[in-house]
Amino acid sequence: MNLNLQNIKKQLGDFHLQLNLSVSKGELLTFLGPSGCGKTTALRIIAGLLQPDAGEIYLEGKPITHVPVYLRNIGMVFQDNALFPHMSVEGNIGYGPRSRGWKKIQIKNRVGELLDLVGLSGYEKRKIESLSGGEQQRVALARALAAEPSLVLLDEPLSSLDAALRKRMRKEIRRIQQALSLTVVFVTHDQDEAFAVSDRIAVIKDGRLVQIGSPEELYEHPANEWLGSFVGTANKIPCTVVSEDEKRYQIDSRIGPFTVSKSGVKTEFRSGEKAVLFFRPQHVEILERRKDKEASPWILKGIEYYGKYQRLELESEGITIIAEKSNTDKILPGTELFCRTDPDNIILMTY
Amino acid sequence: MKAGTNFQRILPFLLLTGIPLIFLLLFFYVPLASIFAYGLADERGRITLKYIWAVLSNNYYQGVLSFTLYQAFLSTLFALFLGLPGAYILSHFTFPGKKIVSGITTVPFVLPPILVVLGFVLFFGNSGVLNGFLMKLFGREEPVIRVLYSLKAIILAHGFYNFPICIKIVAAVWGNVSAHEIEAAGTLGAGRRRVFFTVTLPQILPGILSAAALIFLFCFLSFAVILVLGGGPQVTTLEVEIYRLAKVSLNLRDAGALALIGSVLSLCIMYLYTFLQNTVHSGYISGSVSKSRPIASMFRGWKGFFLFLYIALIILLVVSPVITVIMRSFQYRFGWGDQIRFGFRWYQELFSQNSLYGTTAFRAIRNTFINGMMTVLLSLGIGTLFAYVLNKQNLKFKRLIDTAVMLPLGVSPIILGLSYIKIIQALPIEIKNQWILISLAHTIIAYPFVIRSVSAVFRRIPQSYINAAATLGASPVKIFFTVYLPLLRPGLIAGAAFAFALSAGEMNAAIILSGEKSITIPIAIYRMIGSYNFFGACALGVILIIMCSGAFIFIDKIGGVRE
Repeated sequence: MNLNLQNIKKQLGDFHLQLNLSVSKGELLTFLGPSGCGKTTALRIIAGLLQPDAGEIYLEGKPITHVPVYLRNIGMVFQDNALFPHMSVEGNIGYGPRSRGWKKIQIKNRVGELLDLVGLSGYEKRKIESLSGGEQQRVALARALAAEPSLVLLDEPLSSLDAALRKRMRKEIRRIQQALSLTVVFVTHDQDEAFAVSDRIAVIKDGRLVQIGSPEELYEHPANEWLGSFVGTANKIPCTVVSEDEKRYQIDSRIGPFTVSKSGVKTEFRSGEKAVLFFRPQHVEILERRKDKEASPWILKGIEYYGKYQRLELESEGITIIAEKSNTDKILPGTELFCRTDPDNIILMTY
Repeated sequence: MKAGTNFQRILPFLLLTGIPLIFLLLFFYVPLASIFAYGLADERGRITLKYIWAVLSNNYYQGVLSFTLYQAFLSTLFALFLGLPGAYILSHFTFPGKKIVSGITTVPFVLPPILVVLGFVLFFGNSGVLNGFLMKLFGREEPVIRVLYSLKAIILAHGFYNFPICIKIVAAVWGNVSAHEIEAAGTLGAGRRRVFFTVTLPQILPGILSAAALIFLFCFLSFAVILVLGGGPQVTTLEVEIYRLAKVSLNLRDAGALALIGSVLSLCIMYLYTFLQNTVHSGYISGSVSKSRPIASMFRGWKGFFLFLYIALIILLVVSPVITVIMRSFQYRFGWGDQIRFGFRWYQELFSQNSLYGTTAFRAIRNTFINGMMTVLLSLGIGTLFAYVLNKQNLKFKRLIDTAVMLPLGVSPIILGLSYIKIIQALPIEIKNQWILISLAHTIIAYPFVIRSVSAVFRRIPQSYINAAATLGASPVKIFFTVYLPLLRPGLIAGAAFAFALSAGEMNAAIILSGEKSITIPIAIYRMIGSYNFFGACALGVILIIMCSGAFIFIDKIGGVRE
């Protein structure tokens, strides 16, 4: 393990942070969560900008909890990029190696190397204010990497860029991280961004770790209803467990019976217990005709057009769900439709 | 272990706060306390109000006090009268040369009072430029207007000096009045007059009042203007009276009592100003701010006539005295008939140093320069440390420190100088070099301005720069030198230039502390006015202007920060 947080605790006013996790060498772990969840606080504690109230931080096996920031050798990219306006590109990137007493020629070579890496060769003498937002962010990344840190922290590094540039830059970050097999902790509140760059994602809410895992795990098998909705659009239907066998639960709900396979369900449910059915819009199959006798029809309430596909808002018995459908044929609002979801794609969650 | 690390963490901070606070204590609070105590304690050291009471019940001092307040009140009204139209014009119209006009209005800010006085005497005096012109115009032998050495002259000079304050404060507030609110009032059926009294005036009134309080404070503390243009028992203010008591009558007891009364009053006025300034409706801008219209729309009809008149008046008031000083510096009297000739006589004497004028002027220039540099060094150190401390987050006793640091702004330089006199009397050793005392007093006067200019830059340094430098391996000391210092540079330079200009032009503390050897340019000018060597005074004035404006041009070149 490259980074290890053991029982880190921090209280800031009403807010409590409590964290226990580790990051492997060469891994990109993302802290994902709504604003105010504590992800930036956690990052600042790792960097040493904030002292935890309790717990221990290990970097490459050594405890660093009481090591001051400037002796930690952790590179950090800040939200506002925090490039020094009074230094050139070269001055900024060379700042870390200079602080650590590298030789001049070494620094010069390192700056050139990093500018190559981020695609800004020849920018050494440029002034920071003359760079575009994307270029500034690249320089900030190069600066954080210059002194060969054992860990790199990225604090919402793309939040000041526009949408198109964000997408380009997150690819860049992933490419560089993999090329140098850097250990990175990345903070963002943007779920798309987290999914695009991460090996694993740690979802944090109200100062607690909700779930940690690969993007697929989080999306397909969310630990709870909140997390499921946080990482993507979700349908939730209140229901009651009727019976169970080895592989399946039989469920009853206001809109009819369901079958849910046990493979994706983490908690045990007993018959008669209340629960929530959870499934993604793309797993809803639209049928022209009724297949199941008991299934009640859905009324199409609205359509959102997304180009490749369309999103349908369906209502039945006071319950609304979202379904995704390829854009081949047109359906008019008010039409009656029938739906079906594969038992493997439904998760049963605690009510 | 834990206590140790805590102490180590706090120690640098204690040092940083301690050094400037001790300076402030030694060179401001202790002297001030000693002079106040002198006015409050009897021979046996018991607290008594008898000196205060004696001063307050003395007819003469009562007259001085009421005249001080009376002239400050009239001067404030006059300054508002001069400034309000300017504030309206600058906040509502755009016109070619607007920058120049607003530049001209800052001239009085940077001019030392003694120069303003000199310009006034030469321009409005009985044989001044204005009278010379009017006498020719009307074919008269006698001066047409006689204003010098009277209340009128004082008010005129104070108005000139302070109307830019009114323009600056009120224009900022007036420009912030939302155009939408005015339009909304219009759609609700309010006429122009009603809109003004119900929407505009309530919003600009706090600005006008706070400008008035500040101007009143300055006129209350005014010294050079009264010393030269006033005079005699009827036209004397508190400051001049304290100076006279300390320097001429050597009556420190009455001076101390008057200083206490004066300081209480000036601090009250300062408090009022601070209070009013906090009520100024600022920052919150709902909708669009009133748009500036081209001034051409103003020039039509009778409005245009008044506008023209106003601009002419401002130019007459601001520009003419300064130009007069410069012109007269190239003149001298010659021969039996006192013919006036043009030439570089004064400047030549200055450099050859073979006359009384030359040696005095040269000494004054040298002293002024040394004082200025000392003031820059000291106030930059003190001011920067205070700025650093006051901008720290989670500072304990922040309000208390802030008040202690800014209090010197409300105590007059005359009283500060007086307190130094009291202290050196108590010292066992004799201080021969008064210039050290003058530099210390100037540091006390200048450092709040350094704090202001450094703080302005300080607050704009994002914390993330500091964090970034730390994560990149820079220790706190290294961060100070590689991040803070380079980024604070414009603020430091602006503060230095301010401190230098303040010290160079300051006469009040200097005159009360100075001896023959420590004469400064403003004091030399004052003495030359007294001995009717106006032209020589002008030459020295031009050098002072060059020194001060040199400092300010230096700021501009460096690209300093103006608040």
